[in-house]
Amino acid sequence: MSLFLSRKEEHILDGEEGEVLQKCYRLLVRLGEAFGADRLIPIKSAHLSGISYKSIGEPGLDFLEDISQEARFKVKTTINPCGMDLRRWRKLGVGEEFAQKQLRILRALRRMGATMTLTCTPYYLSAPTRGDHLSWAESSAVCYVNSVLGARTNREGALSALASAIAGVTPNFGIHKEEGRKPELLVKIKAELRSVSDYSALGFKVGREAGDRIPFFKGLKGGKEEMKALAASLATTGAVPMFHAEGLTPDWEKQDTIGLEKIEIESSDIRKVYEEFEGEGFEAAFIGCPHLSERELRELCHSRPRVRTFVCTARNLAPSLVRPLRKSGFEVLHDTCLVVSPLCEKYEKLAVDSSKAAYYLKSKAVLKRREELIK
Amino acid sequence: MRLGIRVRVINPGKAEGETLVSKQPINFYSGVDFRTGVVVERGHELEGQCLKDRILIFPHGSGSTVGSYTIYALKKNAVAPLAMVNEKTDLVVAAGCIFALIPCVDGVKIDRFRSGQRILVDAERGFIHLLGEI
Repeated sequence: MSLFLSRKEEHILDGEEGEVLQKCYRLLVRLGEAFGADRLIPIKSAHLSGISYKSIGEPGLDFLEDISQEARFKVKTTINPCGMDLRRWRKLGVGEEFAQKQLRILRALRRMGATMTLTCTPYYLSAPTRGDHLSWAESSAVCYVNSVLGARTNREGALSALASAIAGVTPNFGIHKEEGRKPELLVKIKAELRSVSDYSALGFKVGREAGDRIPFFKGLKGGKEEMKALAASLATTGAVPMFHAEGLTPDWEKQDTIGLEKIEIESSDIRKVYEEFEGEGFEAAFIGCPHLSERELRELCHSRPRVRTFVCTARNLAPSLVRPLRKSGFEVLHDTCLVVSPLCEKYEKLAVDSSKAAYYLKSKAVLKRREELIK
Repeated sequence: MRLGIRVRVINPGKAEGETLVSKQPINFYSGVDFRTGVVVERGHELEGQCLKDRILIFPHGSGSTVGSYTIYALKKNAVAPLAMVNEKTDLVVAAGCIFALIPCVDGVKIDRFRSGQRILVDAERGFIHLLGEI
């Protein structure tokens, strides 16, 4: 299949509208050719990952400052959490040097026109609708908006999403097309899932089996928060761009599951995920991977932490809940999460309720059910 | 004897060198130290191995989309692989390779390769040539 470009797009590729735009188009066209896209299509929004200085380091900072001299985002562009709470970093002991570098990254992004959401759940602030074409990085958000909201974004890399934010287009292939959304693996749930953390463990197990395939779940129940936990861990151990769940997700009825490879998930499979991150004697806990919804924050207000507990969410999601949460004894962090923050280095052992967080915190992590971390 | 394997070009270029093969996917963001090029993921079959100047052969990327930056940073820090060869390249690896100017191809069966072989990745014409053992 060949990729068709408009006259205007050809001019951009020739560099007639500047070097940065040319580079972005080169990347998008190259990806389009490699993956069999027929054309570039306009997107409604972009969401960028790779915002923390801890994640992208000096090369990422230099790169962003460099392109921000010339580049401007063409569509609404939201951004992932950075490495610190922008109002409380000093109090929390984030180093001055780290903070200054982090602020330079944010200035570069602001200059290009980013909406400073600093969250991995931008869909809570402004939800894409069914059929919207997007270019989102942040694997958990990709898997959630495709599966639960019926939006259409490939699992973009941090750099391809950035290129699309600047160009306003993405190559038309994969999840953007009906045939790219077909299930490739049937997953039958026999396990009893009792906690939002169990859904996270389920995704962790299935992500490994699925690789980059789209799973179709049978026998799965649960609300939006459970689907968020599932999406996040599916995209951690696997490169899963979306899933279908019988009776739950918008497109499940259209899908054909005949002849698919089938796996079954028992309660013992869920237990084994917790066993991978066993340990006692944790000094602190982290709840909020992915960032918590308003409903989850509300529920937490009625409990108390067992140890020092960091709760991460988007700053603008539910400002009125911050005070009651702090009153209950939780430390609320905005703009960041423990995984991308140098804060986590202060702890030998950290309890988490998300297998995605456990995976990225490695040997530090102790995986528990959310209910075990509160009283 | 030069055996040619037909591959799909993700990012053009040419590289000749020693293979480093992983049957497991690679999460570049958390699994590879971009300062040293060493695989640091606990329990990964390449744990402790350095990617620098090797031809890295693995099924596809996994996990975080920040992996594209990691690949770019590996190149800036001069510890990147010479080329990447996948079963099925994912967008995270593809975008990283394109920005970092690392040749990348896919469409191979991983079990055709072993670490320590000498190969030529011709990501201009879409071929891999096995040149022999080292």
